[in-house]
Parts: sequence; structure tokens; C-alpha cells
Amino acid sequence: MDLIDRYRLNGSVPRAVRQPQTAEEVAEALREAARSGWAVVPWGSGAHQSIGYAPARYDLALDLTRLSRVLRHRPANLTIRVEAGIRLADLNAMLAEHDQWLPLDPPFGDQATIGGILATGLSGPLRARYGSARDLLIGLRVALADGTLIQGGGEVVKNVAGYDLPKLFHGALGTLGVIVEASFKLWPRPKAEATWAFSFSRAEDALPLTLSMLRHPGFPLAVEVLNARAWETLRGTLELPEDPGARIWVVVRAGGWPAQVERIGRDAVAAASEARGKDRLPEETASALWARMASVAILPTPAPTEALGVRLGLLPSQLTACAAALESTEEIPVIWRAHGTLGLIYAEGRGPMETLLRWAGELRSFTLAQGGHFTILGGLESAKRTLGLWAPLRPEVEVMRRIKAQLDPEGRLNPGRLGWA
Amino acid sequence: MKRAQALQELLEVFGPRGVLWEDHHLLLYEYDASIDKGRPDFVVLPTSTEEVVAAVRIANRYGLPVVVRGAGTGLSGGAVADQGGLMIVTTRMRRILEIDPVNLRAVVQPGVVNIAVSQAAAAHGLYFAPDPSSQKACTIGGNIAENSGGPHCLAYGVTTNHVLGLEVVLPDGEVIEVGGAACDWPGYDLTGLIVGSEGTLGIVTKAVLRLMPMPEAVVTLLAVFDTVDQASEAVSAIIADGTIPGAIEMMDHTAIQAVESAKRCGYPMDAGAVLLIDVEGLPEGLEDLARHIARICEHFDAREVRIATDPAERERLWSGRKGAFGAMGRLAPSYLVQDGVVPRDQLPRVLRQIQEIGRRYGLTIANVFHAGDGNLHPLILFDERDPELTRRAVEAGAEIIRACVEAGGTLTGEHGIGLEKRDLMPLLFSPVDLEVMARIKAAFNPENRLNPCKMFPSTRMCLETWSRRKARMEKPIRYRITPAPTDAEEELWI
Ligand SMILES: Cc1cc2nc3c(=O)[nH]c(=O)nc-3n(C[C@H](O)[C@H](O)[C@H](O)COP(=O)(O)OP(=O)(O)OC[C@H]3O[C@@H](n4cnc5c(N)ncnc54)[C@H](O)[C@@H]3O)c2cc1C
Repeated sequence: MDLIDRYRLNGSVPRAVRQPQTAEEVAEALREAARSGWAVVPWGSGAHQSIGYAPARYDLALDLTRLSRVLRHRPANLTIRVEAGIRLADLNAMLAEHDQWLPLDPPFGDQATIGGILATGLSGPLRARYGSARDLLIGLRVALADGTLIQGGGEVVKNVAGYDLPKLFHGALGTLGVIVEASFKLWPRPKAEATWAFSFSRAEDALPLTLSMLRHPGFPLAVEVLNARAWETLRGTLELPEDPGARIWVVVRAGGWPAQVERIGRDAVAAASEARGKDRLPEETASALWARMASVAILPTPAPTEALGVRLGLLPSQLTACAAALESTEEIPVIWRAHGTLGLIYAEGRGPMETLLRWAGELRSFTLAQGGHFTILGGLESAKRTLGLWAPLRPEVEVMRRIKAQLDPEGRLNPGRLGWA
Repeated sequence: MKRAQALQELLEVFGPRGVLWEDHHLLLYEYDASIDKGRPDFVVLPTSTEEVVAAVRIANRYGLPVVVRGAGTGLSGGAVADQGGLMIVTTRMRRILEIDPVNLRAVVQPGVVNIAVSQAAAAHGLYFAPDPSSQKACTIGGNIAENSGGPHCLAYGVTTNHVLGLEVVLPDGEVIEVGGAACDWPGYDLTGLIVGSEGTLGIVTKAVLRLMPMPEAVVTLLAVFDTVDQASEAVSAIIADGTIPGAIEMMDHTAIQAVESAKRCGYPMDAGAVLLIDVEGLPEGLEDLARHIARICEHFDAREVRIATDPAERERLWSGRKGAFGAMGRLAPSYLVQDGVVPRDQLPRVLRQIQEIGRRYGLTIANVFHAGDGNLHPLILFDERDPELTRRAVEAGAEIIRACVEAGGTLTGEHGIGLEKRDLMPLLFSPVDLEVMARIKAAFNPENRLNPCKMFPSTRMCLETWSRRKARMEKPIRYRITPAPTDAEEELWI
């Protein structure tokens, strides 16, 4: 396969690929692109290139995976500064030696690079305890569209000097600048861990458990809710408990000192009074499960043709109503998963596009009526165009547009990714 | 003439009880808790978003800069109207609009006092985690503008980690909503950008906050050391050990003297430094954890470690820390507090440097700070009435900040840049970094009407633009002690 084919995006290939090895080389590549008026798409692992609209123009693929160094780890300060192309998995393998970790577990986290995780703003189950990358990020170095290198934040855990630029670039889908370095606060690894799985006949039966975990002062590491179909996809390859009568599964991961872990488990079991099954998972099963969990109900890149992946942002208490809306059509086998204490729901439907569009359209109306937000995470470009990438579009978009115009006036970074930017 | 017209319009919207314009009233609004001063032309006290919009529109018609003020406890001059203009004070916007005990959210107006949120949530076993020492006075709007922290932010994060959404009045009077009660609103994270923007991007008129469950148990440790060195070594060791307590605060000998003479909290008067450490959460294993931390302190030669579980005793130990800034009055008429942050493993070295700087300038410096975060608060003691002492205090402060930056740290961890540190920004940021920030500001505040000249290095252009506009209204009343702007600077970030 041609090198250039690895960077195919929605059917098109770039004119050129650059694989810079340093921040300065990234800046140089961007200056060169600026001279030619080229549109640039930054690349990490490529695992999430299907998020957002396909870029309207695509001349240069800027592959950052050779920027993969750890620049400074201060174990006694619990901070690290890395280059953006480093893979999360490699970073955490290195940190494990110090009993520390960057507690992020985004979808396809085994491949994902730090830069890609930051740009997409995707999070995983551990977010229940540690927040998202947004909360752990303390500094950034970014190459702007014209090749200027700038920095925001720093390598200290508290910092209010100037605007909080790291927040702006987090989740901006590479439309404002190319992240070349990032600093994070780290966490000590929990001394002990345990995982429980609960099965329920109905979503409303699961709610007391998820809501009690939300307000649990022991802060469970993760509280994931899955529908039966999602659970079955996992059970295909893992030795998980079985319950043919279950519609909903809740998986609780507790971490901390051993006594705390046991206490959280006891409370979870007590709150799951309506559960059909309650199982403490063997350690190996649990760790295999958590390695897979974040990618459940997230479509791979490139997305299969007869599939659509969406994300809903609601309140944790709205999960019951949402479960009903998600599975309202018999025609589409829906797989869904939620961060139970956060109200973020990921769903994947498969079937003929017309039916999928109807399903997604109804979900969008439902979510907006509940005061939440709706995003298409994966699927065909035509589906995104038909439904609109995200909703609601509020007047704040005008401000976002002005920011884009200030930082990338020629609109050459990932043009059109967000629709308006 | 224009002034009379502007006043007339303000009175029409706010009525005589909602506008202040006479000198003896304005005098009360010419300062915050920093050392800069400047008198606004008018003060208005809105009660609703609509009134804020009306005020902004009137200010725009008369070319008045707008400065928002919460409780005025800011420590960097953010709420000081050094260019005059219209001051919008939020203290009458103090309604808690909603507490959602199921989803752990609160919706509040910006003038709500920090601790009032926790008090309202307490019935549900919940609280608002950011706990600045000024929490009985400062407002949520001020906390958001400064991205305030507090002792317990070590474990739970600062204000930005607890704000989910905002309603904001832009400088042209438009009202936008950013973020919301759900997580992760799509598009750019404007909420994250506005938090910490020091009132330069928009006026916060409503905030959606995240609440947290109260810990079931708290154990407070008081570790007493002979030297600051030993105490700061212990801090790095606790962090490196992988146990993150709820809070680790340090007070040095000078601070202990002040605190203990103001009120007896039981710190030994002859100690070189004390650490105040909270471990909290579930009761299970908590005392073991406390003893584990006590052993680390003893390993670094703590001569005594007291472990308090009784709420009254814990309260007493903490009361000294909470009243520490106020207690400085026992030692000197004024203090200048700096707010640099250093990597935690650099604490011993930088604290030694601070003492050395104090000696060199002939000034006493007390240290009371968020040691677990590496967030220093050297309190430089002086007398504001003495210009020479004041100059030395300001210079010593700048030198301390320089030492923090050289140690890999930053200018400010929670108090903000404001007027006080704006000319130190180039220590940390290159001209292009600053230009990007200026561009972001331009996306919100293109005509620089809102809190002009704050946060960015002062340029003649900024100061002159506003002085000219102001001259059209009346003679400027401004007295500042920060050095006059140099003319070599770029003129971009007005
Ligand atoms: C004794 C003492 C102890 C302190 N301890 C701490 C501490 O532990 N941690 C800490 O972080 N700080 C601390 N501070 C500093 C100060 O209390 C905080 O910065 C606080 O958040 C300021 O709130 P305020 O309501 O007084 O704001 P003000 O001082 O009135 O204003 C501060 C800034 O916020 C802006 N602002 C206010 N309201 C709004 C709004 N609605 N929209 C937009 N902008 C707005 C103003 O324009 C200004 O720039 C302390 C101060 C004192 C005096």
C-alpha cells in the first residue's frame, strides 16, 4: 500500500504527507503549507479521523506519531510533559513503573495518541473518578496554522496566568492549531481495585444504583451502563456472567485502599436491590473487560456503510427515559453504553440508512426536548450532512466562528470539520 | 454634560437606589483587596441579566469602559476601575436558582457568595468544592473570573473543574449560553475559556455548578517542624508516595507568630513550620492513612504530629489557617501577597530563595500557602503609607515571581494577573503567546470595552485610549503604584 493511502479520509487522499520529528519540523511543515495555501489535517493514530465532518479540503496529512517522546516526567510532582504523538498505552506502560498513571481510557485507547485524545475530547469510563483529559491537562504547546509555536498553561498543577488555552484546544478537533506537546497532572494508581456487574430487567431498576454511585463519597472509578446487546458483544469474547432475561447491565469499578474498595462494593450491592444478578468479577476478567469497555458502541474508522454512531449528553437521572428512546424501533438492533454517573450516552445502530436516519432523528428530538445535546460520532458523510453533525446550534457558535477566524484566518486547519469551522 | 446624560439614563433603568455616582459613595468601590486603586464614574447594582444588558448598552453609548465587581476580595486588582467608567456590581444578583440533589448540580446568580452554595446544598449532603479562604465573602462570579482555588483543591480541582455552564453577557450586550447542565457540550469549550478570564471576555450572569458529596469522615493532622525545609521535604514526599490528601497547607514561623497572637489555635509558637493536612472521604481505612502520612512527616523530622478527628478540634486547627491573612495586621499595617506556583519538588529551594529575597530587601515575609499544590503565598509585610517601603515590597514581589518562573512554575495559581502582575506576563509568555490571547480576547471583546488593560502587559495605547475617552467625561481619578508603562512594548493587546 502506498504511504499516502494510509491517510485516506472519506475517499480522498492528500497531496502530500509529512512526518515531522520535532515541534520545529511541525512548524516548518505548516509554514510550507501556508505558502502553498494548503489545507492541513493533523494525524495521530487515525483511530478517530471519522469524527466530525470530513474536511472540505485536504492537501497535507501531518502525521505526528514521530513526536513520541516523554519530555519531562517529574515523579515527585506527579506531572508529565510529552510530545503529542505518543500513544497513551505506551505512556501508561512507562508510568506503571512509578505506580502512577494518566487515568484516561478513551475509545480505541490502545492505539490513540495523546494529541488525538485531546483534539477529539473523547473520554472513557474512568472519567467518573478522574475527570476527562480536560481536567488533567495543565499545559500545551501548539503550532498555529501559520507555523507559529505558542504555549499555554505550564507544568504546575495550578495556574491562572493568562487565558486557559489548554481548554480551548481540547475538543477543538484540530481546527485551531496542531497540538505538539502536552503536560498533565498524573494520579497515583489505586492500591486496590474490584469490579462488580449487575443485571436488571428494566432501566428504571438500575437508576438507584447509578445515582447512588454518583453521590458516593468513595468516588467509584467507573460506572458503566450497557444494554443487553452491548453486553452480549462483550460476552462473545470474554467470560462474563450471563443473564438471558436482563435488559440492562451496570458495571461498577471501585479503586482505592482495600477497605474503601470493599465498602464501595457493599454499597453498590445494597443500592442494586432490584438487580437480577450481582457478580464480583475475577480480576483478570475485570481487567480484560475494562480494556474493551470504552470502545463498546463506538464505530471504528472508517465507519461501516450501514451503521450510525451517536452520542447524547443528558443528565444522569434521564437515563431511564433515554434507554426507552434508544430502543424505540424494533427495526434497528441498537448497542448502547452510558457513563452512568455522567449522563453521556454512546449508541450505535445498524441497518438500512433510511431507517437509521429516522432513528437518529428521533433521538435528536428526544435529547433536545430533554435539554441535552446530540452529536453524530460516526457514520457516512451523507448521514452527517442530512442530520447535521450536532445540535443544538446556539448563538455561541458565532463566538466560536470568530475565534476560528482569529486563529486560523485562512481556514486551512481541518477545514469544515465542525461544519462552521 | 455627557456625564449628566449618562447618569440620567442609568437612573431611568436602576432607580436612585440602584446607581451610585457621588464621590463619597464611589470611594467605597475604588479598591479591591490588592494595592491598586481607581475610582469608577458610576456604580450600578443590577438584579437581573436584563439589567446587566441595559447597563452595558448605556456604557457603550457613552464610551464608558465596564468593570464588573463581585465582593471586591480579589487580590490582583481585577475589579479596580483604573480607567474609570461604569462598574457593575453583582452583589444584588444573589439568588440560588436551583439545587438539583439528584444530578448534583446548582444553578446560581453570580453574586451568590461562595459558601452560600455549600450551605444551600448541605441539607442534601452536598457541597461546592472550591473553597477559597475568602469563601464567606467572595462571590461565585469572582471565583469564576479568577478560577479560584482553595485548600481542598488539591484533591478536587479548582473552580474550572466544577463549572459546567454559564450565561454570559458579551461586551456588545448580547447574551449567550455556553455549556450547560450536561457534560461535554459540542464545539469549542467556551466555558473553559471564560473561567479564569478575569472579567475580560464577558459578564457572567448565571452559572451551572457541579456539587460533590460531602466526605463521611475527615481527619486533620497538624505536623510541627523545626524548619521550613523539613516541612517542604515532607510535602514532596507525601505527594510522591501516591497518597493525595484532601489538603496540605503550610505556615512558616512568621505566619505562626501572627496567627497565634491573633487567636489561639494551638500551633507551637517556636515551630519553624507547621503543616495542616486533611485526609477525608470514607471512614474505612482513613485513620490508617492518617497514620501513614504522620509517619512520612516523622521521617522528615516532624517533632510532633497531632491527629484530630473531633470536629471542634479540627475547626480550631483550621481557624488559624483561615484567618491567617487577616492576622498579618498584628505584624504590619499592609501586606502584599504573591501567588506563584512551583513544581512541588522545588518547594524547599524556592522557599529558601524567598527568605533570601526578604533579607535582601529588608522586609519580613510570612508564608501561608497551599503546599500540596506548590502554590505559594508569600505575604510581604510593609506599610502602604511609606512610598519607599511600598516600592521595595512591589520589587521583592516581582523578584519572588521571577524565582517561581525560573523553577519551572508560574506567575499566579489562583489570584489572577489583573493590574498587579500584568507587566510580569512576558516572564512566562512570548509576544506570540500574548498575541494569541489578544486575538481570543478580540473574538469576545473586540473594542476592549470590558475590563480594559487588565491581564495584558500595559501599553501606552491601552492606557491612552481610555484616558482620552475618560477625559471626555471628566478628569481621571487614578492612583497607581505599578510602574509606568514602557514605550518599547508592542501595542497590540489593548
Ligand atoms: C483574605 C483573603 C483570602 C483569599 N483566599 C483565596 C484563596 O484561598 N483562593 C483563591 O483563589 N482566592 C483567594 N482570595 C482572592 C479572592 O477572594 C478571589 O479571587 C475571589 O474569587 C474574588 O471574588 P470576588 O467576588 O471578591 O471578586 P472581585 O474581587 O469583585 O472581582 C474579581 C474579578 O472577577 C471579575 N468578576 C466578578 N464578577 C464577575 C462576573 N459576574 N462576570 C465576569 N467577571 C466577574 C472582576 O471583574 C474581577 O476581574 C482571597 C482574598 C482575600 C482577601
